[in-house]
Amino acid sequence: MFNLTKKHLIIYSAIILVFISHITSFALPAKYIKIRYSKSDGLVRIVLESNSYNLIRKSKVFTSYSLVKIAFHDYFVLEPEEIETPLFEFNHKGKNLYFNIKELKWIKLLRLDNPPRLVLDAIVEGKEAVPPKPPAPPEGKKESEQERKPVTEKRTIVIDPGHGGKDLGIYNPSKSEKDIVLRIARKLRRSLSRNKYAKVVLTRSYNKDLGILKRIMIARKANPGLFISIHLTSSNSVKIYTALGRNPEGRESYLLSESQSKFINESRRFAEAIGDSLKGVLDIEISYESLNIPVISSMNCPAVLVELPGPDFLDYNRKNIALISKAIEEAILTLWD
Amino acid sequence: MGLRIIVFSVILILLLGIGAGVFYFYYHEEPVTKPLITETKEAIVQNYTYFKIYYPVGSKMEIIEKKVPGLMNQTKKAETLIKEYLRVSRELDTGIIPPDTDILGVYISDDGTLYLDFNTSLKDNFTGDVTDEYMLLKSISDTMISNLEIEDVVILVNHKEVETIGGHFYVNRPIKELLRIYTETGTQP
Repeated sequence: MFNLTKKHLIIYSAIILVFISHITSFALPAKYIKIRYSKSDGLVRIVLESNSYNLIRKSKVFTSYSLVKIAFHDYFVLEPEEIETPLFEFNHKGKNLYFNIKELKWIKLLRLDNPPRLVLDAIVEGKEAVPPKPPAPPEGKKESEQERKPVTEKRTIVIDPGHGGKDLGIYNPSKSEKDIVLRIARKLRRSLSRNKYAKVVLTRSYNKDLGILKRIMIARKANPGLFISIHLTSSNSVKIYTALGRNPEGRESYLLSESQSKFINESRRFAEAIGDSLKGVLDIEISYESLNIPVISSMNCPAVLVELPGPDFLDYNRKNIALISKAIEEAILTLWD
Repeated sequence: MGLRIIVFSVILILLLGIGAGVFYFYYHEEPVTKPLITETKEAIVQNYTYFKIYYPVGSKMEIIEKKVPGLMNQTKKAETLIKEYLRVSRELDTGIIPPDTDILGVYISDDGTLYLDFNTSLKDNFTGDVTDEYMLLKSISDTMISNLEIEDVVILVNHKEVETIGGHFYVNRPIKELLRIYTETGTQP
């Protein structure tokens, strides 16, 4: 029955070894990327979901006109290999994915975990999503100067009252940051709206939850000429923040800091104008800080984040709110003039 | 032929024996029993783990050193460290950690990312300005990265990613990388 020869033993051993090595290789799951997409008005969202955190985290995204290249550090299986859609085409070559997104205007990226995924929000040409381009400026000027419009044209200013909804911000038993900054923003809107050349947009005009990304999207959609985010500080001072500048080449556009880099000098002038103006009405220390806070570093115009004294240090009664609003309004008009 | 069968059977029995032995030592867990004399065991422990804990004073970061008895693996060390960080923040009244904040879990992924899962108090009761939120993120990142063999830190709140803690900065990505972006000067045009 057991007529085993040396030859048989070698063959059986080889089979067992091959079997074990295959089991080991099968135990390591292949890296995959699943593509899904959706479209809303002016936005195509492409989600690349993977089973590998590294594949998503180490990916690099490059854009050139309507072409988006995503370079991954490792090979992967793509699911599905083909999608029939008029919105975009894609190719899978080696470790790279190439998307050709029709009428692509700009792109936002987000890397998320659980499950690991890369979200590409492609803003495409559309009547809702992208405001019309300004007329072509004369040659030989910097882009920030080119985008300046004559004073006689209507300009948009976006005012962003910080926090809102469940996010109170800084508070004491009687007052919270979310309410104080909303009152200042509304007052500023009323004052500025009297100027026929000013169009004012608030990121929120009532008490509601609003995330950072949502604020950025509202602001950018308005195509502002100026952006101001209003907050409170936990000290008895005023802090005015501007962004630091452009991120290095190849940086993904997640924080869109490259947009703000064109306007750094104008943002600093805007910050100084607000600081000087506030100094006149509040006898208080004013300091200027530079930090790539997402809400300002993402703006495509001069942008500042102003922190006013906390509710423990300043009584935000009607008179003081009117004074602060007036001071900011004067700074804006000075800058525009 | 009979000899070959005997040799093959002996080899097979030996292999089975080795397999059973390996299986026993890898998968068998000793029943957990309490040490008979705990005081003596604690007294014998001569090894300590030293932690550097970063905490903010205004807009500057300071360091305090803590000594915890025993040697630990990375996950246990991370868990002990974040608890020490929370305790130190409360003791020194740094004002950046809400009072009821606690840690729900700690996990280190294969790529060296430390996941810190806090309870909802961290987000719901955070009341700070831009500097406070920045210093909160920086103190957690510096404390964890300087004491552990990890690459980066991800903050979760009640097992989930959140966009922000205090409404000024994103935290839905590893925070060391985010902090670098927030302070990156880059090239001026």
